[in-house]
Amino acid sequence: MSATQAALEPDDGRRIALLGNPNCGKTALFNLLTGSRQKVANYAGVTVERKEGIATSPAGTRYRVLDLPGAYSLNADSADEAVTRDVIFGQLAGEQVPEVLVCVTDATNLRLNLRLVLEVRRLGIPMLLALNMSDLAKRRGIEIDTARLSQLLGVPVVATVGVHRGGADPLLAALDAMPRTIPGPPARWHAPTLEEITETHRQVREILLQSVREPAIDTRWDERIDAVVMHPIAGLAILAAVLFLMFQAVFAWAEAPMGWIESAVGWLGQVVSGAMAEGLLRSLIVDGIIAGVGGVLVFLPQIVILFAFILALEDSGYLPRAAFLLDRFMGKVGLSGRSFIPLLSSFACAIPGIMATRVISNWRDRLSTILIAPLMTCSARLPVYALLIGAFIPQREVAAFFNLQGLVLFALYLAGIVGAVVVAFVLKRTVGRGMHHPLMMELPTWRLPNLRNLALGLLERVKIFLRRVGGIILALMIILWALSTFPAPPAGATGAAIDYSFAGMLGHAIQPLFAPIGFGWEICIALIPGMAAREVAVGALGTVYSLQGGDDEVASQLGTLIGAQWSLATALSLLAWYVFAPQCLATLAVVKRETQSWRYPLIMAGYLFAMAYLASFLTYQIAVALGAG
Amino acid sequence: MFEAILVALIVATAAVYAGWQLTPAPLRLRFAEGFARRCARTRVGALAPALTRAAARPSGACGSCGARGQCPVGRTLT
Repeated sequence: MSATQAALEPDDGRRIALLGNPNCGKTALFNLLTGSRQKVANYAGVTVERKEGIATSPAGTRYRVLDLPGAYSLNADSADEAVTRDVIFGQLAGEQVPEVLVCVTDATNLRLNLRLVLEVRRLGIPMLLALNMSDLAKRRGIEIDTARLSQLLGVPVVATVGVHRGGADPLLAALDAMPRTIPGPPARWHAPTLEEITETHRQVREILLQSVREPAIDTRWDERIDAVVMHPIAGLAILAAVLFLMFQAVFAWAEAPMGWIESAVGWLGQVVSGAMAEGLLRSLIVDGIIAGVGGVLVFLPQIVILFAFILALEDSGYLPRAAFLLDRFMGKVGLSGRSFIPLLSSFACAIPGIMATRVISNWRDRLSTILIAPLMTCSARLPVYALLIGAFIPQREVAAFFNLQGLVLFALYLAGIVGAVVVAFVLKRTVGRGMHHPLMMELPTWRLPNLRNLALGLLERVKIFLRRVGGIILALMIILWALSTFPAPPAGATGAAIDYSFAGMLGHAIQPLFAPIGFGWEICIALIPGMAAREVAVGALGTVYSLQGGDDEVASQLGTLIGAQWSLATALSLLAWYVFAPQCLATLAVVKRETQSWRYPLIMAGYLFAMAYLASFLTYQIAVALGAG
Repeated sequence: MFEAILVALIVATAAVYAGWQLTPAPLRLRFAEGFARRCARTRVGALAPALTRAAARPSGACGSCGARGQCPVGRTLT
């Protein structure tokens, strides 16, 4: 049972809540305390929901730990900050006021972090101050007199390191030492007035003067790097180069491990075929499971490489700088600067990206971001792209340096971004937008990616992918096999058996709709389960071609097979389709939940379908006219 | 014959699993609550808590993506 599920039991220990400014390491501390593997990154706004887990202190005391979204003040401006405020005030459904508030602060930036601490202290809820990243503060020569700080604030103060094993032990020990009290309602809170804010700033200065000694800050390296990386021209060139390298690596570095998986899948298909007598069960295992699931599994190395880059960029502190770099441009097309992080998250999966739009306080800006999030190419589309590029784009060097397949992949990702920009611009002109909100975000310091975080992040991605492959993809492949196998062909039938099956009949029935964009009935069949999970389309093609009379190695040779049977125009058309095609059902469900209306998911599905069809139609017709049909 | 039954069972299990995974969490929870109510005094009623937990678990075929934490499908914000 995961920590999160375990935490749902009613009386599992003392309820503590971690709160603090964005990017002060709350989630890293939460992971360390509870053994969870929640997402952490070196930028603000990673946590948009409250999360729950169980921690046990060395003394054996159990704690229910809540990890709250970062906030600069209790005066909530966006949906994620409102979650933090509501939890603290016990206003969230089924949630009581926490027994202890753990104010997590970035020890290297107390000047900013202490403002929230002082605001929270006024609520009268028992609290404790965690000076997180204390190792980093020490390395920078920042000396914090914790005893004096504790005396000035009137709350216990402990030093923690969220990214090191044992880094949360002082926090657990301090929690154990705090007497257990029944939490009463928090003191009345009101949005601070200008005078109160000024007074808080004065108090922070006074406290720092008495308890913290900082050396003259040496930010030369950060400033030097920022001067280049955030330069309006050089910065954009670096951003393009980084993304370019990423997509080149996805193809170049994954070749060998993909070959190993392909060989293993092909070998397994042959072994099972040789060991079993011909019949339904063998067909199910070889044509349905091995051809379908194996066809998706081979793309694991590419997904790992893609995420290794994304996670390393996140941890280094580069991504918020990229957000600033693009802020002006995003403003011009009608997006908020705060749209960048949700859109970036959508490259992994549109669902967390859409949820992350809660950091956008203006409803129109938020809606625009939600509506274009699916145009960012999610990782589930990578297997489809990789299959078609591998089958139709020759692997050769361009300009003696670039891999042509990597270039095409880059172009496909770029096409999604351009599509999103166009839609955002149209929405700006039609739906309108609120006042321009310039991006205000704290830039983290540059740092080398933490190997533990990187390894945990990659492990999590691998587990997610394998869970999909072994769960919903496997189930859909079995169902598709059944639909492609039954009913059996009538006596005297001359065509392939699949032509007479339910799936074959359905494929042939909807094929006329897709004929103008060059899709055959096999592709039409694959599009339907692809609505549940996009990479299923690849597995579905494997199953369909395997049942159509391919050999046992269809799973490992699918690219070669479609390369021989499809025209280049059809392949390009399908690629264009997947750049814009309507999202999976889960995404539409999340849009409904986040907008509290069916109107927006329907609008989204409608405009994406129209864009996909138009793009595929133009691609196909132009390719045919140029002789690629 | 045995082979056909086995294949039918596998396909039926896959269909139930896929249907469950693709059903929105509120519907699953409603189903689990209905099951618990109707079967409270029967032997299968013992399965109700497990079914409710399974209904509340993230699914939606999105792989319960870890980015930005587990999707809180089944939990609604007020």
